[in-house]
Amino acid sequence: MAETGSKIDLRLYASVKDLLGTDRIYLDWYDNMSVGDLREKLYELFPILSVVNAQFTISINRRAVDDTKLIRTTDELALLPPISGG
Amino acid sequence: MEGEFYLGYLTSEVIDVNRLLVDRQNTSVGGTVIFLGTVRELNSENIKLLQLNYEAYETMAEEIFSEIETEARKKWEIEEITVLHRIGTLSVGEVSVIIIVSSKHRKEAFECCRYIIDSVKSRVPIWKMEITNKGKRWLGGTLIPPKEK
Repeated sequence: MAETGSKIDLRLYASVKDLLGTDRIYLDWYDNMSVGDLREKLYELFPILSVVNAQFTISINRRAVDDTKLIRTTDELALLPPISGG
Repeated sequence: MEGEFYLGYLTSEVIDVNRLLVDRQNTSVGGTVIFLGTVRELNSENIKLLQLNYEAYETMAEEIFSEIETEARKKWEIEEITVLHRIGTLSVGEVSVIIIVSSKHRKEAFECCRYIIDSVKSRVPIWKMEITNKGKRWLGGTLIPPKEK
């Protein structure tokens, strides 16, 4: 189990990165923190996300996951806005 | 992005279509299908484009490209698959993505090529920013669906 005070590290891309003005966010982690909890925390910390109704998928270790997935402090996390490759 | 690099499916260098075709000459195939994505002159509002800037979550993109290629090889009997996507700044007319699929017969090659480009557009974390005289904007697209719970 991770120690109290552990952080999670989020990578940001494209529109979400520009919206929040950074490509990296560090947040406090807690036991049984889910992707849905993280999503709520982000909306609370960054009201602009709600203002512009920002949509994003969250990935853990380079896999897109749903909101029930639990987060570990060692996970590689990223916010992925709608993609537009090709 | 710092410097030029080539990991596998992503490249920051100009895609040399002829060289890719020459490099993969194979006399055992009877059909080769090529899809080229290129930068259009006008955007969806008919405004002249100056540049497109492609950004990727590179390590994840490489993994998903590889997963898509593996799926395609399971679905069809394919001899060779080449997929290469540009990142960085592109001018009008430049190739942003190339998919080359070779098989003994054309039907498999067409279906496989279509599957790959559709999968790339719906699953690979790549984003494009449009730059016009009116400013810059990230283009909206598809939200990657969660893969696992």
